[in-house]
Amino acid sequence: MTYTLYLIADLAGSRVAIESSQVESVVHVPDIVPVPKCDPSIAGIFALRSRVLTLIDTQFHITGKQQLVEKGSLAVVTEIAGHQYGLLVDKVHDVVPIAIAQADSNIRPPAAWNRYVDHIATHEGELVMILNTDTLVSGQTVPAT
Amino acid sequence: MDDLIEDFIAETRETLEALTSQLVEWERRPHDRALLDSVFRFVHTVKGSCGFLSLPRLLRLSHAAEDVLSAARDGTVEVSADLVTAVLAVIDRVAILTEALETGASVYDDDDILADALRAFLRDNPANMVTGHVDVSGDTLGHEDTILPGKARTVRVSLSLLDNLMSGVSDMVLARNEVSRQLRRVSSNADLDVSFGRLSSTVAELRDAVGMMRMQHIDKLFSALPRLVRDIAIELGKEIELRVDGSEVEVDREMVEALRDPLTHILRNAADHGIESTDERRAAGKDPVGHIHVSARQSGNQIIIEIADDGRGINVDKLGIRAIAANVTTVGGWQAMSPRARLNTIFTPGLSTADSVTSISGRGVGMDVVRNNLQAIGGTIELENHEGHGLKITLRLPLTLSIIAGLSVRAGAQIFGIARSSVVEMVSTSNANVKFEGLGGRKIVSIRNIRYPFKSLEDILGIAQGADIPGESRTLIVMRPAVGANFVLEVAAVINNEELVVKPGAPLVMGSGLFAGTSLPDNGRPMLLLDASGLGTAMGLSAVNRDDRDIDSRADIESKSNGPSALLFIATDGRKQAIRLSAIERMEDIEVAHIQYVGGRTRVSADGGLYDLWEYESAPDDGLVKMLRLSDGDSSCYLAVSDVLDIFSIAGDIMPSAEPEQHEGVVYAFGEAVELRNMFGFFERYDRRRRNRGSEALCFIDCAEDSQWERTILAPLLTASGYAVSFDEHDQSRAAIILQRDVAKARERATDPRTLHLRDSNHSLTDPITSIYRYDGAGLISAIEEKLAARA
Repeated sequence: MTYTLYLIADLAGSRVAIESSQVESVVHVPDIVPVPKCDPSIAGIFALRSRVLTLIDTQFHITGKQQLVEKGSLAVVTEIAGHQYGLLVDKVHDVVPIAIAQADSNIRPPAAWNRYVDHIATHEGELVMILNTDTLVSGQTVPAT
Repeated sequence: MDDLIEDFIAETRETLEALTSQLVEWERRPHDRALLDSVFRFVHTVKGSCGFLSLPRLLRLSHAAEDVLSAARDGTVEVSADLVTAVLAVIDRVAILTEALETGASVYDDDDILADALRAFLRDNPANMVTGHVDVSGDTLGHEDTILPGKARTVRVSLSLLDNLMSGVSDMVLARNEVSRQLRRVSSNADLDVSFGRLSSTVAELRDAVGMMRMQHIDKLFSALPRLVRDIAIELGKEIELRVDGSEVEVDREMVEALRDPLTHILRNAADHGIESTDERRAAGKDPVGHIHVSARQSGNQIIIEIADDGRGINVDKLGIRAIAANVTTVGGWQAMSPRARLNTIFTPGLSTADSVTSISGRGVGMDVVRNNLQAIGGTIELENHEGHGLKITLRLPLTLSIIAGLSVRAGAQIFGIARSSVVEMVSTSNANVKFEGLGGRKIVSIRNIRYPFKSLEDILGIAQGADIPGESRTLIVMRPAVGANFVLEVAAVINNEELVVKPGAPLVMGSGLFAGTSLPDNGRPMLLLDASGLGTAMGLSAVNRDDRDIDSRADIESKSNGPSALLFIATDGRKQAIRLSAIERMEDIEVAHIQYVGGRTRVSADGGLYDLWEYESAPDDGLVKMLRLSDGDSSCYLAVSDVLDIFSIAGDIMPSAEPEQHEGVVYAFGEAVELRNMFGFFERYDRRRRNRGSEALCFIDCAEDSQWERTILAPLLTASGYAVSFDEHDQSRAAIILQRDVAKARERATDPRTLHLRDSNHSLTDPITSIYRYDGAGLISAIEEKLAARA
């Protein structure tokens, strides 16, 4: 059984895992500059050293409600398709090894999550959803109620 | 081993790029030994490396090429066009195989056909056939060949490392700015400030150096052109000579990539449609060989690339027929167009004047794509058409892609960036020349009687107006988008004028089309860059139909319904004055160091010339002086000003001035009477001293070889008065005036009406011949003028 390292985080009140090889760092976001007239899942842009990153309101994807973003919010920095993003999360916990094969194939995530979750795995007896980060920046938001 | 193969690929690719233009040159001059040697050196190196790396296909090919080239070097095989073509085919295959090595793609193996084609040249001289033994050691290459003299040493660095370095240095600059801010707040320690100053300047130098690392010779782009033209010429059976200048100009690495397609396209067009067939050219009385000239130069912060051919040019009438047929315009519309607008219809999608679609070009996807590609990188394209004699295309490009001159503007509480290239002008909403109107709910603003569609940036972006004090003046920006008509954008304020480093935005951010990217100014707070075309589209303006009629009609308005425009400025004596806009070439800030008092006048050195400077009163020790550059069409001069205020149109009568020398009259500008400066004065004084070296006014001075007075006193006096001077006997016949002091010669020339006799004494009474005292400068000049007038 092969184990891969995952970052465990809280997102919209649920426990999720992001593959650690995709995670560049976790930062407290500095000043956020809003982007007018763009996809509602974009919380704004912010500077990280000399780079400009796009901040994704991950919660909006799940709940359809825009998160109140303020300076100091936690974001997971990741690079997708050549662009750098910050994914807003509520809290980060730890980096742990998880084996996908442990996953229970007959348990499916709830509908709101379905698009963004690749697998369900267990970690220390708890279920975690493994996020597919690509879908978070594709912009085609599913209107959730 | 992998490292070695990677090195081999990179090296071969580099050598191939450098070799391409030489190959074409070699084809034209097959007997040029140096070219033959460099081609030989290439295949030899490839062969050597392949044997070592065990790459059998490349080895076979390069071996065959080497055999033939070696025989050619010995003179046992004649270098013919066929042979060159066969060698080129092999080298092309080597290039393909090398690329395939990297990508892992497979290439169809008919190498033997290519190799056999080459070896066929040796068959006539079978003795030369080197069989079986593959020489890998490299000893057939003369020792002296292997050392390339005078080449700057370089190392190969991966692009990602370079980019890392770049962003690292940018981080450092931002960190420095942050430290500098904090230091200003807390420190009063002079030593610390000095050390920080040193650190700061080192960082700045480092950033410049890293910026240079991104630069590349444009040769990288140009080296492929000769081959391109050669292939087209052969395919079409034309004779074309390509000249490439300015290969040493340096451009940003990304620019080279961005330019490749447009340039290739333009060159294909020139070779295919521009240059006529050999017969046609002969019939038109032209050199049967067509010429294409590509040149690059740097001018300020622009790169200018010109592609000129001496072909048939664009047939504008035919273009018109096509344009009307394609419903781009109507017959009436075409007739109303200015020549430039007509020519520019070539950029309309789907339009081409080519009679037939060839494999090379003429499918109507062309110039529009070229223009769009150029605009995407902030460049422009201009055409200069000489029907029947050729076409010149001028591309103007910014020096780098990543740094643009920009304005930062505020809308609501947020700051945005705008590229300065898309800004025409800025005026305050409180300006008397600005009027707001409505048209069925759409807002229109008229600035100096030119109407523009208008919207505030807050409205377009849907953000709150912010806490501006009501009634406070805001700023209107006249925007010129790359596509679409001009429009006016209202913003809360213009904050700054700065260099912006453009960073691409994420697709989701760019999706709205309103933004051109992001930027990180020195304050460390990211900023969105606005896209002028996108804003226009968001205002509901049509993206097509940006036409030059716009400009024409604007010129009409200026000339008909409106009085001439004038510039309101504060003169160096502190008074408000006006000057006609048509006389102003441009406004400039000139460094004090470039201003000198020489030759009895204050002058400015600019653009390599020396110009008169008027009304320059006080001299600050350093810094910049605001100036207007005036022009009468032929000559230019500068007028120093304290400040430039605004442009207005001269309405109503010009009231006469009491000092017509100084002022043309008095006009009203924004309800205030100001003097309109008289342009005449600036140029009349200049013109009086202007040198006129017409051949008619040649003065021949007849004197002895060693006569000092004529040479050191008379000649300079004449030259300064605008006459050409000659001491050469041969010029005597064509001279307009002959000057002499010798009394004997004066008698000989008594009948020649051109002769002026100079005497040494102030008194003329004793002398029988009419003469002028040699130190009577004014008398001499007026005598010369009299004689010239009499002749005319």
